[in-house]
Amino acid sequence: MIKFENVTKKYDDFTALENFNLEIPTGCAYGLLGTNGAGKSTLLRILSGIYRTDSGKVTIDGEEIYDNAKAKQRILLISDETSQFNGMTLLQMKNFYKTFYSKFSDEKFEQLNNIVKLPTKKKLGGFSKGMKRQAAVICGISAGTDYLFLDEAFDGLDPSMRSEVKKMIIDAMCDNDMTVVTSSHNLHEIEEFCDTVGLLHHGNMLFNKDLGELKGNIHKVQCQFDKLPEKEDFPGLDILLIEEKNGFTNIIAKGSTDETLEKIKAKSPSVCDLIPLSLEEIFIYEMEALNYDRTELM
Amino acid sequence: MTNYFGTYFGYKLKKSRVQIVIFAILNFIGTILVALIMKKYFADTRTTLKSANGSMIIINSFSEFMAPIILCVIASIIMIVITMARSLKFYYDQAAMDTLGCLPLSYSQRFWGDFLSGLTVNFVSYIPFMIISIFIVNSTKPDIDLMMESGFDYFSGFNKIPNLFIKIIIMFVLVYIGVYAVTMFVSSACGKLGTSIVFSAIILVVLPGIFMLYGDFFFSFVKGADWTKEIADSIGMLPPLGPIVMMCMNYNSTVGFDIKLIIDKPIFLIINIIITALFIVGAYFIGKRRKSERVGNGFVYDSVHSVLSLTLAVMLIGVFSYKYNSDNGFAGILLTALFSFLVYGALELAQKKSFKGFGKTALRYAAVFAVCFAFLTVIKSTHSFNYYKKLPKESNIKEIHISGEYFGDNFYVNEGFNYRSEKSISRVLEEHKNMLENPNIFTGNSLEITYSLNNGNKITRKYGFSKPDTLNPLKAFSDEVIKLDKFSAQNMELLESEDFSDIRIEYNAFSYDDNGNKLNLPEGFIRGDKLAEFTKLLRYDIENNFNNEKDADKTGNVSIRKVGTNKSEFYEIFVTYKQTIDFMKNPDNFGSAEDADNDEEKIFQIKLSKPYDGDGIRMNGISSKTDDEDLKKFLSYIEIMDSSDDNYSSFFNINDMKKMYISYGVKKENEDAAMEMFARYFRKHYAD
Repeated sequence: MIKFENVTKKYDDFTALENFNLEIPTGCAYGLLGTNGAGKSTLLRILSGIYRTDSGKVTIDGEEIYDNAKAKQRILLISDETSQFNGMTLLQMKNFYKTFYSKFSDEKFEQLNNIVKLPTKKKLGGFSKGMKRQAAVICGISAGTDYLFLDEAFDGLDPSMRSEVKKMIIDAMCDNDMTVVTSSHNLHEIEEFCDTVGLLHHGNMLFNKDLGELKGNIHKVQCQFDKLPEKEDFPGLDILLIEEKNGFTNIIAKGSTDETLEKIKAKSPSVCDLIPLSLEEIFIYEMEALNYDRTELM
Repeated sequence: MTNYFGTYFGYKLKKSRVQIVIFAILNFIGTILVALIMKKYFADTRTTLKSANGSMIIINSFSEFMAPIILCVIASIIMIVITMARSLKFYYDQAAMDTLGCLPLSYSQRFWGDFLSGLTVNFVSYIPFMIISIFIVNSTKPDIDLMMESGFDYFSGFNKIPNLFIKIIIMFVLVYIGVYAVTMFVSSACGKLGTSIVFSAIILVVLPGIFMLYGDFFFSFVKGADWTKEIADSIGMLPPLGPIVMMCMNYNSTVGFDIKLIIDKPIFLIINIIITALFIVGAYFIGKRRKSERVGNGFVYDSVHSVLSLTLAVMLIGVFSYKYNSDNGFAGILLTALFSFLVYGALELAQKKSFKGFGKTALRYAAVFAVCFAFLTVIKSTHSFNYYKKLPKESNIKEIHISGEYFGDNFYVNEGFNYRSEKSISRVLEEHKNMLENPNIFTGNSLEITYSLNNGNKITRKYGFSKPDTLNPLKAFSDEVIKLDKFSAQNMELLESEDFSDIRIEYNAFSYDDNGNKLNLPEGFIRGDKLAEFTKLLRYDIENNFNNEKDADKTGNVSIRKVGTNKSEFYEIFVTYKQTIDFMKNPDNFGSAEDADNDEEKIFQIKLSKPYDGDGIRMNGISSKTDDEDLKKFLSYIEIMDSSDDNYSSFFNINDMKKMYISYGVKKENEDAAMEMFARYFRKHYAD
């Protein structure tokens, strides 16, 4: 389990994380959302033992990570920038990771590379951004660490490759009970891949929820009333938003599906349909409910 | 848990393959190639002398060997700075930091991996090359006897070259480690590769620079001190480049064999090792405390830029402080402040690329200037804390050498004398202290006092006297103090030695007595019992006339040379040396011509200073094969000459070994023919 306890990290006058607390259970695929500068990369680098915290404690299965070679054997960060390997071929990159990670699997590497079909003897400097990412991901997965941290790992991948890479990671998680933490500012990527999401904003975790629970607990109901209702018209219902659009009233509410529909139908709307919500919409409504401007968050 | 230190070390080395090759080339040139050149030179000299085939390479000093060594060292130092700084890429590049920072390594493992792999990149070739070159040099020491016989007597220090070379290349190990340490230290505080390289280079130069500049200022107020010598003798303690500066400052291109090296000074070695270790420890802790997120910032610690730039400012003030020294008063101060600020300000602007915060920069500079200026003023006003009065403790002095000009009639006073007795040391020290009470009388360098201390160090003071009458007490003192020591205190080791069987009189040149009459003493060699008798008489005469020798009484000299070595001592013979002269007057005391080896019977000493065009040979020989036809022909060209006569060739310097006071020469019209004869003789002679 990954545990942040009252972690603060400052860059001169800028506070990247402040009294930050977070728990990520083992085997979880955790999606870290936030705008540029929200603190996602900082969090991942602290988690990888690259950055030292100013205060607080970060542990993986009870062990602090910073300057701890033993704990670091179980983690691997795939950064958003892979220029470090530009002078190497994929084989050399593989060998680099293989020398440092005792559980590195050549078979796994071959298997994964058979999917993405990257040239093994060409310098990575000549690869496209997407190919570099693929190279980093297949090496990262093959390293066989218990924890894999991906910083904007899907950036630059075309949809089919993105899908392949995600599949690889999911397979690795299933095979090895690997815990994956990935950062992104793209909700769709997270939605397809993660089971828990957290939203970072100005060094604080605004939001940290199980995706299934989140999706099942918030609803959009499209209705038609003679008169635009108020929140107070639906006592006992946790309404996030009521808006009128194209002659319809959209009600965004939290709670169980049945209870929500029952309470709305009690007001006798001429139309009452349950509309599926995307993760993006769920986030927008959740954040607006917390009085945040969504344009600042995503 | 697996320890990945070795893996990381190997990875770093693998990444530095190109640098390893470059270092190998440089190290090969600086060690093995120089050793091979040396070997070839010695071999060529020997071969040419023996076979007269091929051209002789004449190397007049150690410079020819030093030049490639120094060039390679400079290139290596530049390479070290760049290699070390580049090897710490994760300090400047976020991607590298992300990759290497999360590897299963502790900070210590990574630090030592970086540092030791950096050292290895250079030393993996340097150490074996150094060892090989030592073997090469050791296996081919110059044939000193042969060189001496062939007239290279001015290369008396030649046999020191191999040992000197070995010491120098061993010393560079420490220098290189020091450069690695400084670069690691500076790089640990920098977040950009360019900043790291530039400031490493600046620190390497600034440290000895400050030492020299402020040392210069300090010693300029120490009456009698030779600042160049003082700095040159002490800068070696400052690593990493101090030892090289010390070597270069003490290097004399004509007698380069006497280079001073820290390897001969244990205390300097220890100081070097300690300071280098401090740089390494400093680099370790600076790197440990470093914030990884500062990658890409010029400096990782805010204070570092200030410290570095202010160090630079201190040096700049030192550079311009001579204005303060030479221009007494406000103008000197103003110019020092102005010049140094202009340079410092320009460097600051170049670094920051903005005038923003320039006011703060100026204020900071003003504060540093005030501190430096106050320090310089204190030095100036206190005459460097009256350091000129500081003389060594009597108990620490082994001997005192005094030499000077116009001190009186005493030969040994004028020539210079080593005072070793307690009485004389005490008296010299007392007189020296008295002299220092009135330092204003000094000007110039007519008196030199050198204290040789028990720990091997030397302290030298040189004084001159503006008025002749101030010299008189000193003359009286010199005449007095020299009487305090006996002859045995002199530096005449061979004569003092009891191993007389190893000593021979090579030649003598008694030509005239005190009345100007020719003594007609026989020439030759004194050996066996006669040698012991002669040296006994010579000792007796020196001891009994010791304090009364006058320059005007010189009548000739004898040279005593230890057989099988180049070590020789000359003894002036004065007309008052009655017993010695009586001995010399008796032809029976000299060995017959048969007693002496043919090759030891020198007749003419001939020096040809122009390379002979046909062979490129520069000849300098002592002829002995008198039955040689070419020599006979050559001798037919020489004649007693008037040195003011322009008709004689200026390339020949010929002395009759039996009549040293007569000058011989070759007429210009016979120059070419004489050269050819001599060259032919020379080649033939050494082909034997």
